[in-house]
Amino acid sequence: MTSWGYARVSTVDQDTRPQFDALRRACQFSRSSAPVIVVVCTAAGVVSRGGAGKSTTIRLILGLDRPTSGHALVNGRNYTRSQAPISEIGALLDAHNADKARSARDHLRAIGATVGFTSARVDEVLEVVGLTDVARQKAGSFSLGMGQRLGIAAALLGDPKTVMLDEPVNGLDPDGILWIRNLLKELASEGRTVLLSSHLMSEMELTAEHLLVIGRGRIMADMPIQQFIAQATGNHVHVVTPDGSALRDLLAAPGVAVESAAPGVLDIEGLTAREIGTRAAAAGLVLFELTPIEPSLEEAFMTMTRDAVEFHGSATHPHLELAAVGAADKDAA
Amino acid sequence: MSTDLQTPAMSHPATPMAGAASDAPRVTAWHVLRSEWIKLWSVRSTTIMLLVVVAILVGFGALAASVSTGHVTTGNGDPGPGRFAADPFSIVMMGSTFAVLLVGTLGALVGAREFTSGMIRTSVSAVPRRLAVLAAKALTLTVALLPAVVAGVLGAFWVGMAILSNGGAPTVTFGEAGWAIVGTVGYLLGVGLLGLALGFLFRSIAGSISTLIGGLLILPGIIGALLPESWSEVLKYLPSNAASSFDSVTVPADMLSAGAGIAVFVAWLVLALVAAGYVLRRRDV
Repeated sequence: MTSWGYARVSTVDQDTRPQFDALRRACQFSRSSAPVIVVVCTAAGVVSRGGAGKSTTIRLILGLDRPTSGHALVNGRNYTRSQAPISEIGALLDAHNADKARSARDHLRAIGATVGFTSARVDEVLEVVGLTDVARQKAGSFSLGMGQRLGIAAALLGDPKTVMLDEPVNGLDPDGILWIRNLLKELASEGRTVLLSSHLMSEMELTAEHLLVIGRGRIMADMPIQQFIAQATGNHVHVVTPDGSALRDLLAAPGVAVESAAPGVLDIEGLTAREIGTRAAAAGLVLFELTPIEPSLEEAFMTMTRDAVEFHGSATHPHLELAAVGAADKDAA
Repeated sequence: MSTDLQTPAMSHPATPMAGAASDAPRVTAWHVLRSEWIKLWSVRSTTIMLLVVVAILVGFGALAASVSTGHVTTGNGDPGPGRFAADPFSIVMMGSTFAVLLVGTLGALVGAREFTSGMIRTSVSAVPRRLAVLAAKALTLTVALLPAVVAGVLGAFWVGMAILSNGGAPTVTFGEAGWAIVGTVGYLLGVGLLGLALGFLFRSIAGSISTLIGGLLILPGIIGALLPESWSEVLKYLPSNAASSFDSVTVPADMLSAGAGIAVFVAWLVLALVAAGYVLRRRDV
């Protein structure tokens, strides 16, 4: 069972607290019976100082940064007092944090040795991340993607219950991105809690099921992604019809917007496909296509933050900051 | 749990086997030492620098002895005998200044490269009790330095004395030089630890090495030249001058007694390591 405590870091960043709330919330999912994948977002510009604070959150939990007051608790205790820290939380931070002069294998051997692992475990993890062939090469010779795999290997080395990955997709080629998507789902299905951040919204949309948006000192959204997407925009329906202008006149009402990119092609907002279809049939209008358009997570997120957030200055570009993949915790079940 | 990620060494808590408790992954002092030992030797520069320390100590000792006996003359034709200090031990330990540089650099590298590479974040995540990391580093560095420094100092002594003896120059016996040899070894080990402490304090390779070299080799001369005579009392307490009271057979004039010198040098060392530990504990990494 994973549970999170609360740390206040007023001098580090006033706005870090909601992220702890979000993490705690994310871990409530990890205790639920059904596997669920949770995304946590903050919008860039919402947290004004020192970035959005997602890295700070991870660093606080790992004890790399010290909170000004309070504690970051994992499983009801301070991570730094864990008997086998790398088996408690496996973390990939934003930078690679490996000595460039040391081989990948020796890097992992040194980490594993802290809890008494042998090289056999290291070779196993190297196999999982696909670095076996280059295990004896220096970390400094690695490409961005290989370095990322090495960092993920270090995070998985201790077989941890919680994995925190900061921008794991960075530098990976399409093959690598597919690989990590499957890896994350596998980790979650094994009952682990995976927290991850990525600026690739579309990638998160494919991986996550539940969304948590935090900003300006509170949780701004806490709902399944589908619900978030549906809420974020009015109904958007794509219609192709030979009777374009007739349909436009038929549907004209306050709160309904009809746009036409070409004759007979209408994009209608404010009505469901069902309503449009019913009213067109009643009026005897022919429809060739009637397609509800779902916005992407990114579009939904933009709409949501545009409506709900007062941004500072011109920093209005929404930015996915922290995603959490939680899964059924078998110990709790 | 995972089939991919599970290992026999990490048997599931639900199915404990007899005596499996000791196999459970766990941070212990021994494990941290082992981790630091792997780190130390998996970087090629460690081996190279230790070999160079031996070579320089023996090589410069032999060269200085040869110059001293006139076997080798310097470029401008200076005569050999009497060119260096009359003390045969300090002649054969000519390389120790260079060895100080190398050993201190190695210590600083071991400390600072963790910070320049970001490895410290990985290290401290795996071993959140940060002082354990520093202590393990200090111990493994000392254990690694010891054979190299002993081999270098003894090699320099025996080779150098043999050359001096062959050339008819005065020599000292092993018995007479015993404590000075121990003192030189101790000084070099201490300098390694000083470098390590500075590496943790400054978190920069350049900063820690230049501070070490400046403080040990350059500062005593500059202070001696700039400060009024009445301050010469203070000079004795600089680490390198304190060390000269116990790492030589003929202790230079107006230095501390050997016992006081050891105490002062150890005090510097403790100060540096405590400061390094304090900063490591307090500062974010």
